[in-house]
Amino acid sequence: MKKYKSTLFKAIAWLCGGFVISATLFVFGYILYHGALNITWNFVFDRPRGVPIGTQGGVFPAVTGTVLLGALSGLIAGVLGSITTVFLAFYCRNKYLGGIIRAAVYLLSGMSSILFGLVGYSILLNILGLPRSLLAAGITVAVMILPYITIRVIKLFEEDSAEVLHASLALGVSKTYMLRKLILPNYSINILTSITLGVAYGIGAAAPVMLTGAVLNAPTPQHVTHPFMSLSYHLLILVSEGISLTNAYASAFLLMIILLALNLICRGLEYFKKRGG
Amino acid sequence: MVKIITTKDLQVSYPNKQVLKNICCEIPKNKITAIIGSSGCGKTTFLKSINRIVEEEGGRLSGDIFIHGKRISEIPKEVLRKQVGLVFQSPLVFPFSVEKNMLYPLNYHFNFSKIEQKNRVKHSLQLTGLYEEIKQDLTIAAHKLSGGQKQRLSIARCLCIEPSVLMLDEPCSALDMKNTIYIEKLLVELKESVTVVIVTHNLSQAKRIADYVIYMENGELIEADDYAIFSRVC
Repeated sequence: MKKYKSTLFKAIAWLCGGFVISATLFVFGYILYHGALNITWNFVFDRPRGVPIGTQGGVFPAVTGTVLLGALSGLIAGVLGSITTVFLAFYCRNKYLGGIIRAAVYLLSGMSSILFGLVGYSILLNILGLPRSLLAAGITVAVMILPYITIRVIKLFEEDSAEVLHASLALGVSKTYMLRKLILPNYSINILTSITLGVAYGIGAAAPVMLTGAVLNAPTPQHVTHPFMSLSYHLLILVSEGISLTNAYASAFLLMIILLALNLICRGLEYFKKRGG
Repeated sequence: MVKIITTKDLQVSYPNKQVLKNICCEIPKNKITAIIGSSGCGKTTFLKSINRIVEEEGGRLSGDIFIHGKRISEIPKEVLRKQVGLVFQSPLVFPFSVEKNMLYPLNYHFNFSKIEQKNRVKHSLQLTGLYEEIKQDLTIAAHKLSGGQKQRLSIARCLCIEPSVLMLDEPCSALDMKNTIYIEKLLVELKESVTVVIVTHNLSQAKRIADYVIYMENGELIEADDYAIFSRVC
């Protein structure tokens, strides 16, 4: 009976694993098949043209806008997330305060992306008076990916922070010295990986940027206060307005390439760390 | 008996539990003091209270601890912890090379030249017998060392900042007989220059190396005496 149960469990596990792999391959394969066929030099490096906009031309401003959005939101969320986790892991002695911050982070992680867009629009644009811009969208996406980065890094620190902290403090060094010489150099690659994955998640979302900074047509932004094009929003408009399904697949393909590149960077960083360690 | 550490009515409690109750004892200078007792009786907490690591874990300390006649609450924590080194039960090396592990506390406490640093690192590693084993490459990653070597590196890392007291929390519990004997020999050699306080479950080990024994049960000090105590507790 035990052997039968074990075999059944193994079969279910294999089936679930197979389903996950198949679903991933199908989604990527489908976009690759439909998108790659429409990728041309002109599509990648030209700006959108035609009436309605997007029926002709390319998506270059959307690609650069997406990359800039990722860089800005990654920078903001990375700094905030790292400081929050360092505070929680090494400085926060008040259990209640720590609990409240953790609860807030987990609550934030469960919010849907459109809510971030709405709150970003209300606070940044309506109350603070920021223009519809890369900056407003960057801040909104940063707040959206902040819990993702924070939770990943907190888990990282929780695994061995107490041991390392006490062994280090027992040598009579200060916490600042420990952070500078031990924690940050040791965990910097893991933190960078978390930020990169967070950015990959953030740039794929259309909802937080469509109310705060992304527009239908704009050149590559020269300043953070300029509006910008984003691949995710461009893709949404192409499909929802029925402008061009072929261009939508091609845009999705480019977005997928950026996400894959970010994932490859993460794998590369992890490999580099293993080799270096 | 010249004493280096004295505790008076030492009490340590965590939010839900009192761990140490009215501990009054003296630890002799340049001797090996073994702290024995059953699991959970507060031996480790006692060690951690001497260099105030217990406070980092959320523990509350009351009563008095004196080192060299000075109340520890009057000594800055960093200075106190430099004077009172602590080696943990599981060998904990930092994720650097052996050399960087040694330089980590050294660079914080001293402004040595490169040559002075090198000499201090070499001397501390020699004390623990690790230098002869890894002298070809001190840049080897510390996590690649064996368990015994890691524990000796932890001890060397403590010794390189010249503490006057070296506390060890069951340093041999995860080691084989060969490494255990090596560390015991090392501690006996070290007591000429450093006061050693060791927590151990192993009564035979305490018998082999201890000059003075503190016996604890349920957070209380039952007896503190020299070697003769064994005839009563064993």
